Amino acid sequence: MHIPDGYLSPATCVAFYAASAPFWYVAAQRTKRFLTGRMVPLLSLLSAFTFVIMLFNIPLPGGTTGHAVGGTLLAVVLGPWPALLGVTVALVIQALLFGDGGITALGANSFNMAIVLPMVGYYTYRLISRNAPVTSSRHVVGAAIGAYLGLNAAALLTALELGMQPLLFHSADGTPLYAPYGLGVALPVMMGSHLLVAGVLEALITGLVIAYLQRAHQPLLSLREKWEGTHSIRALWIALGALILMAPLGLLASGVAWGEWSADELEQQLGFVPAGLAALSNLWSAPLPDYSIAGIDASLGYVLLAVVGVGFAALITWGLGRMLARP
Amino acid sequence: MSHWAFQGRGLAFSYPGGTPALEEVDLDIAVGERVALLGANGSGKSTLLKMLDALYFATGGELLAFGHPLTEEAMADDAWAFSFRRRVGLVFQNSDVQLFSPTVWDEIAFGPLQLGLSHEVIAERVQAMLARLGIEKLADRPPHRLSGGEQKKVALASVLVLEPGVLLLDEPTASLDPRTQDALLDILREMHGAGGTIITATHDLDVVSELADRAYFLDETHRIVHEGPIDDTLADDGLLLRCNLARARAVGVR
Amino acid sequence: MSAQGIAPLPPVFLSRLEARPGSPRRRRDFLAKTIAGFSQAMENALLAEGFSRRGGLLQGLDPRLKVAAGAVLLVSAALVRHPATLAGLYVVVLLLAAASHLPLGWLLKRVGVAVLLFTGALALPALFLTPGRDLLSFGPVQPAGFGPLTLAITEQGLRTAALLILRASVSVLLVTLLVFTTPWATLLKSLRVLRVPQFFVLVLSTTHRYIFLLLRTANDMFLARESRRVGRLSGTDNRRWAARAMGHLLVHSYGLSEEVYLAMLSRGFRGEVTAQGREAFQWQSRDSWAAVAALAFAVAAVSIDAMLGWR
Repeated sequence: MHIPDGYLSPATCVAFYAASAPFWYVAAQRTKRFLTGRMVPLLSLLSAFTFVIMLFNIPLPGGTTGHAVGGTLLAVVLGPWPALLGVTVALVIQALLFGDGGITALGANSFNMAIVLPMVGYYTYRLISRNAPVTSSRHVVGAAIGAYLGLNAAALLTALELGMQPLLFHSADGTPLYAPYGLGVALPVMMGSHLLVAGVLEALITGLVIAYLQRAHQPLLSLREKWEGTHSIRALWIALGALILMAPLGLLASGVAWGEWSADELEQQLGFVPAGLAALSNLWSAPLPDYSIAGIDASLGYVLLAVVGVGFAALITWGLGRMLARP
Repeated sequence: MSHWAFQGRGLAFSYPGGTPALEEVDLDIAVGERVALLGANGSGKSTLLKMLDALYFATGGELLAFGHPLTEEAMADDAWAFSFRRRVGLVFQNSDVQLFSPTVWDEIAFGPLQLGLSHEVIAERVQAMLARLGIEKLADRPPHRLSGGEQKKVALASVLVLEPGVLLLDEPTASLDPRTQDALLDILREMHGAGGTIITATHDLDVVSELADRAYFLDETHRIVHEGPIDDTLADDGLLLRCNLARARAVGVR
Repeated sequence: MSAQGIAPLPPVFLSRLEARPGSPRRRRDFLAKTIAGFSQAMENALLAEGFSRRGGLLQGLDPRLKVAAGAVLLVSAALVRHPATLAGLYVVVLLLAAASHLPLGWLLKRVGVAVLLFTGALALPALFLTPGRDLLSFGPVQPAGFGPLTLAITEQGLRTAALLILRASVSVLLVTLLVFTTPWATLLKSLRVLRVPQFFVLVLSTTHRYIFLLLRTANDMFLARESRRVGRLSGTDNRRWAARAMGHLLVHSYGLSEEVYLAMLSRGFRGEVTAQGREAFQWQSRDSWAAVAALAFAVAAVSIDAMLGWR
């Protein structure tokens, strides 16, 4: 999910640096308030931890291995703001020292993996585990579902960012200048692998780690409340609203050339899949072909989809929370 | 200035969960003394040392440093905290937690920087410290590229650079090779010769007589069970056994 | 919470050994892979340390200049639109690497492996999937369940694949060049020229320092696991073990952070981050020349690219 340099256009990169910056700022302010002097050592060790666990290969059914991101785990243990900073720092070091993820793409990578991932993961977890005693299995289930949704939200954003590139940035003869695959390819490929494999792994590992902490190190699980106090779930709705707003904003910000396009050209760009592969593409995009709803301008379609998607996820989570909350 | 570096009466400390780490500790340590805190692992000597460095605050009893109460409120006063941090230094047992800077040079400069010294003074002091411990060639190394002995030397340098009058040491000789141990003991002797107070927490009986003249013994009930001159106490097999500092077979008791 | 030493994980799994027949290598893969990953991470950072201390062209330049010039060149690599321009940038970056005594074979292998394996594999289908003028066609073929397919490499597909691979390569090379010719501590301090906040620089440097400690701890856990492995374990047990190792590492990291905080307090840290370290930076006349050269080069790359036509 680490987007390398060269995959995103400069405009997209700038847009995502700009989108991430306020989150970095708020996170730094809030974390400073909770942690005061502890901030530097705590964030450093947690970033180092995140870096190291991304190197853990974990066996998957079927003999392959994968690695977890751990953003939801950090958010569940320490709260979303320190987690946001911790994952960001880990991303910076990966990009600089290991060429894993780009420097120009850092804003986007951080938006996906350090901001959206822990936020979605954390608030899902809070909804499900609300008011549960520290040993309750709702914490395990909540963290697992949170991790699953968080990772998939990040994957969805990554797919949107990559899939928009050929649409928005191409030369006159149709050569994509950056990532070459449109949404029709990027979405099913990214979402397929994350919904079926990576998300499951992330959920399993996050749940298992929380279960381990419940057995072996309960004090660590009550840290977050000590710092944050019991803070209202209302923040969740604010965060969700912000996320819904961010989705179209990112789209618009990167669409320097929005106005120049006729609907025909958009159509043409969206229908990126060669005729011979159309059969395959029909399989992927059954209910909402190419993620645009007939008769509506494509950009509006995305916004609508973002709203519907987030709302749907929230509804499921809320329902699950209610179900599990019953003794 | 008070004649006493530290005076404690009925000191107690328990962790947030309620686990006691120290109970009813009385101690008096004069300026210029060399004192050992002896006890097995888990007896509370590290906790006591951190309390003397105002990192933990007593949950019961009273502790004075240089005649001033050493409480969380007192340390909130910048002027007092500033002078206390300058006068008291702690060398942690685990050098890895003490060496958090990117290079040895930065590590030694950390303390002086916090105390607001000018860049020129800092540069001079760091250079002098590197020379004194013979580690000039390590200046640009990151801490993870140092051996255990080198790490300990750098940790010591990072504390000594503040020229503290009181040095607190937590298991300073643990896992050091004999030559590094000797080098360390030389530096400490030199510091004591210049009037420094040295308080060492250890369970290493081999070197303790070279580090201290007097000892407090802590046992597994987290209390001080004995106090006296180091040479007498080290001959007291019963005491050593009781504090879990010697093996029964080694002292000939079954 | 004690940060001293790390208790070994209880060998619960020993009681659950399963001697299952099957492929002999597969089950150890996740341990072996992880251990290999750890040592590669370690080695990478140590190599960077070593190269940054060699006497070469880039090592002799002011790090602030290198950070700024690196950023400018990265941006120009992102802006250009022709594979030819990117190829030119590629050659120049390699020349710079050679002048800085970085072993070219190793560098190409590092970048080659990183880019060709990942971006190359990813770009391959774009040759066929990008609509445009056909250059070379294969087929028609008839995969089961589908109608006849004609695969054709298009001109646009070839160009977009070349752009992606070259751009990704040049960018990774630039970052590698910067990081491998500048000591990490110095590099971080010079990030200040890009207006990265002080506290963030401090967190970055402290993180980097503790990555090594945690890598070693994690490595020991995996090695201990490997050495105690008698029979084969099920995937479930392995996942449970990995989660426990992760949980343990998290607890350990938290404990360490508390101790580090105390160690900082003990030396007078009051929660305010003060400017760090000595002024290692000395701007010399060669730095001015290098700045002019880097800027001129970036401008030249972008203008030549524009002259080739914004197609």
